This record gives sequence, structure tokens and C-alpha cells, in this order.
Amino acid sequence: MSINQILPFFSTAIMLGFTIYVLQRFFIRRAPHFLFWGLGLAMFGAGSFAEAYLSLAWSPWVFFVWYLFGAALNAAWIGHGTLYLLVRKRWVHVVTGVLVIGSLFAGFLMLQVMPKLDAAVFTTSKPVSEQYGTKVLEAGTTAPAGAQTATTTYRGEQVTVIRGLLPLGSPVRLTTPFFNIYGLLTLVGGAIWSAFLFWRKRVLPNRVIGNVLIAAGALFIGSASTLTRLGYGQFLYLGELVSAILMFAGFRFAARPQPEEIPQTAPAAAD
Amino acid sequence: MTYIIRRFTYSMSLVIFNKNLRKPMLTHSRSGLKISTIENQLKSADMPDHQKTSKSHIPESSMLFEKIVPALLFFMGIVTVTLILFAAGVLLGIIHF
Repeated sequence: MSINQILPFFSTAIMLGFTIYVLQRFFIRRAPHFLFWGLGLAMFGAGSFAEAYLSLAWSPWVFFVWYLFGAALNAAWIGHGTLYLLVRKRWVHVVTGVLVIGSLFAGFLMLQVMPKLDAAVFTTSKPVSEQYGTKVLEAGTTAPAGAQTATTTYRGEQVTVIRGLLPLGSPVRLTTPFFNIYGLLTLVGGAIWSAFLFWRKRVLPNRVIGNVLIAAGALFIGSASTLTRLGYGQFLYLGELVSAILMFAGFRFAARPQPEEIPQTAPAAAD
Repeated sequence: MTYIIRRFTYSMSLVIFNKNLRKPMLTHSRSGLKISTIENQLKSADMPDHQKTSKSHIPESSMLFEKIVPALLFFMGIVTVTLILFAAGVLLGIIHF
């Protein structure tokens, strides 16, 4: 087994523990941010598991789970939990409705593309993140070694493409940036903002550190996903593992109970 | 004598039952032995920062919190904005993948 086949299993195990930990807190405190964090983390874990599975064998429905939950939705749902934590206004419920409807729509688009998956290009010798998307081969460039190419019509033009699992121009791929932008703003932005507020007030140092770790973890996976889109999918698995570790550590740090203030008495004046 | 006993008892009760009072102080005055209490001047909100030993406050001269954390927050902010702009570029068709 290669390193890219082992890493997703570790990520899955960490995300499973993290998800259970967060959902336990939801069942105790019934706070909505724990619910959305738990659901988002469960999606992250499902995506990691799907990657681990796809590193060994092909299954179209596992690919469905990988793309929809691992690539598209999880950042937005985790970030939405942070929005609930930081903003106590009614309009957050409206955003919840938009998120749910958007997620169902993305699921519908993914179901539509399932019959058109090009499973013939799938190989376990490459990570799924390197073979999921069909890309147009720019004129004058050559395809990478081992890549399968085909000629097709796209937007009225004959183009040469590097074949991938998802057909060229799949609408579901256009939904991913929406969810990722929302997730970046709320999850990373929220963690950075929280860390800044506590740091500026010079209080609760563990929450400063915890939020820095959460933001760093989320940025790791965000950066790895961006590199995947640019064709450097080999970093995704390591990014997921590092992200899982950092976010779990950050959450545990931030959730630690605070010690009571211990005022020190000045020595009594002696006469 | 009765007055002294009453005064002493009153002072000691203040010390025992009022956690804000610290140790009683004995002073001598023209009228004799006098027992007085020191009112608590150490309300935590008024205490100078260096006297606080709280673990829920960021330490004052900490390299981590004075330099590293703000630098990290700034850097992560830049990276976040860059990633958002990239995703927006993909949506608008400016960046092709």
C-alpha cells in the first residue's frame, strides 16, 4: 500500500472521533452550532472514507459520497456552525434554509451526472483527486504521461480533453466554489475573528490558540482543495490529515474549561 | 471594659464573616488598645495587572501572543482572501481548470 492509500484511513479515524465528540456535546447542550459542526465533520469523515475506499476499488456511489460530501458540502456545513456560534440573529435561520436547499440541489445535480461517469478511466494507481475532473487540453500543450485523452465537442467547438470521471462541464462542479467560499468566510473567517477578539482583550489564551489551530486546519484543507483543482491532487490526502489533526486539537483547546480568576493579595500594611 | 469586648467582638465578626476583610490590625492610641480592621482594598478589578495570577489572561510578555499569534492571524487572513478570490475567479470563468 502506498502512502496515499494509508493517509485517508488515518483521516477517517480522526474525523470519526472528532464527529462523535462534537455530536455528544450537541446532545448534552442542544446548541445548534454543535449540530452543524457535527454534520459537517461527518461529511468530512465520509469524504475521507470514500477516498480510502477509492484508493482500493471503484464504486460509483462511493465516488458520489466523495465528491458531494468531501469536495462540495463539508466546509460550508462546518462553517455554518461557526455562524450560529458567532451570530445570534434570526437571519441565520434563513441562511440555514438556503444552505439546505443548496445542498439538496447539489445532490440532485450529482445524481444527474451519475449515469455519465467515465468509469473506464478510473485506476487505483492514482488518487481519485487526480482523476475526477475532465479538463480541456490547451492548444500547444501535451497531456501528462499516462493520461487518457479524447476529442469531443464542447460549447460548439472540437476540443481535446484529458479524460476524467466527471464529464466536461458538469453543473455540479460549478456549485463547489459557492460552498467553498461560504465555508472559507464562516469557518476560517469566524475562527480568525474569534481569535483576534480574545487576543485583543488579552483574555482566554486557550481560545486564542484553539481558534488559530482551527483556522490553520481549515486553511490547510482549503489550500489542498485549491491545488487539487489546479491539477495537483497528490497533496489532498496529506492536507486532509493535517487539517483533521489541527481542527480537532484546536477544538479541544478552545473547549477547555477556564480556571477561576485568582487575585493575589497585597501584603497587609504594617504599622 | 464592656465597650472593648463589644468592639473586639464586632471587629472579629467582620473578619470572620466578611471575606473581603483581611487581617485585623492592632494599633495603640491615646485611649488604649484599639482594634481596627483593614478594609479590603484588593478588589480584583482594581488590582494592578502584575498582581494578577489568573490563568484566563494572556501573559504580558509572551513571545507567542505578542509576535507569533498576530503574525499568524494576519497571514491566515491573507491566505483566506486569496482562496476566496480564486474560488470567485473560478465561478466567474476568469480562472479555468
